[in-house]
Amino acid sequence: MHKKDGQFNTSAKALPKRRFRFCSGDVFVTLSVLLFCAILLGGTWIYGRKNKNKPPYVRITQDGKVLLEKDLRDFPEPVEYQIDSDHGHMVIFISSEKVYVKESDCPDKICMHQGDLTSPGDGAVCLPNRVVIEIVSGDDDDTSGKVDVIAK
Amino acid sequence: MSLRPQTKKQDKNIPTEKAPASFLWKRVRAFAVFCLIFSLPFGFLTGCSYEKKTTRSFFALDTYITITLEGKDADEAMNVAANYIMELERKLSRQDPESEISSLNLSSEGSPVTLSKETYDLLSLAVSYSEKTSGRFDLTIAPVMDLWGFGTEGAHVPEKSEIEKILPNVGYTKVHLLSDNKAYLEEGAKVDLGGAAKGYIGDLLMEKLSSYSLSKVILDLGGNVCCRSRSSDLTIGIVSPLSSDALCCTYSLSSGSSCSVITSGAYERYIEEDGVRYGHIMDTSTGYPADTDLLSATVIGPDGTKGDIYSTTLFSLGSEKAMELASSECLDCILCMENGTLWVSQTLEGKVDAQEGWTIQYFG
Repeated sequence: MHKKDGQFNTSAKALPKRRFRFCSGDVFVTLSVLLFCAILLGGTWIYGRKNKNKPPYVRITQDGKVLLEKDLRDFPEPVEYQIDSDHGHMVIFISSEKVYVKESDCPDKICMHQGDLTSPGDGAVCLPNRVVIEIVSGDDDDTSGKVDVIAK
Repeated sequence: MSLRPQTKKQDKNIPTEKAPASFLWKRVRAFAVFCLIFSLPFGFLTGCSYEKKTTRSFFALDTYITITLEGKDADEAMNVAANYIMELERKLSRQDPESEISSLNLSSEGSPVTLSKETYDLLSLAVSYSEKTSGRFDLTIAPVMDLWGFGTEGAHVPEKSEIEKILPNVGYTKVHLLSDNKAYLEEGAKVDLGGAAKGYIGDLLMEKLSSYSLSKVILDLGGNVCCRSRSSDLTIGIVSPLSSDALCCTYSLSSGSSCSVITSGAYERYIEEDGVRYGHIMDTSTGYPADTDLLSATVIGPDGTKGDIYSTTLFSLGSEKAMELASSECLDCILCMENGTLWVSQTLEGKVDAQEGWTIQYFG
């Protein structure tokens, strides 16, 4: 069209002065990029949600070494987990609903007084046996409604 | 980026005819648009997760420690903090026969020991606070604690005569601080800094970590909390003395400030004999567990050493005297009563939220 009108000179002189204008190609590129971004963001959102819904698991460590790390749903039948080490003997009851220290030969029994561990963030520590039992949320970043740290 | 919409606006005034721009120019344009739009969500995502966060837990100081650091120097600072704790433990632990405290406990007027600056400073702080609390907090309570043996195989309620025999050995005046970081104890006296060391170590760590680029520091030294945050507010839960998996209240620390939160109570460490519970916090004048109507006492403030010492002292005093002392010492504290009342310092109004089953009353 412009050729007919002769309004726009396409000579080499005029070319550098030309301003940017959206053409159909740009619209296509922009739309496809936006679509791409939408897919990317949607993907991370879905991934994030999937992570959030990840069930809590139980983790037992001794002296920093992981002894057991397992999804709580993997215990339809309660299990009595035994720990025997140089420090002493412990029995930990694990079921899909709760975890607690059933027996411990430590002198203070603070770990047994801790009672049932049921939700993410709950934990029991046995200092003499150097054992830590924790219920860990499947989502590491899930801090909603929780405190940053507990003073006791 | 800001130029882009402007250009678009101007385009509207120009006839829609398309210039036969060179193919290369069009490609460059398309590429620029692509880059700009693509970098938006990408930059946003990476910007959110840029802050490095690291958490480490380990057994030390006769307790379980968790350190959480966030910021550029998190990894480096974590190693420094963990090593510093180990170093201080070797100096301050009474269980370690090689420690400075163990050698101090073997010292006498004729053979004083030379201590490191950290140990000497803590010792002098502990002595001055013992003096200030008229011996309610006493760093020389160790012989009585040994008799009760809390947390050991031999934990039992001792005979009255045993306590009476050993009580004269308790008294902060038996600690003699000399110049040049030297000190000695009178015969029979023994020092245990367990009631102040964790608060003090927290203070030292916070100071040490202040030279690193960290947006968040949370130290949990077996329930003694020290924290600061530049990026966001922090919520610190205070455990319920009635149930270890519940909280009695929460304290919110606004971003930009730092504090230590230290709780003392006898709900975790005690001896049960003939249906009677004997808590591990002693009345230094009788050698028996403190007779108190409090379940726990929490001190919040910038000074962890002071907080550690005063939380023990307030607990052992009982609610009435504790409130008097807290007012006169300008302490911010939370006193937890059996009937579900939380006595909270007026100065903490608006920062403490009670959990279900607890009611707040302000004092001071």
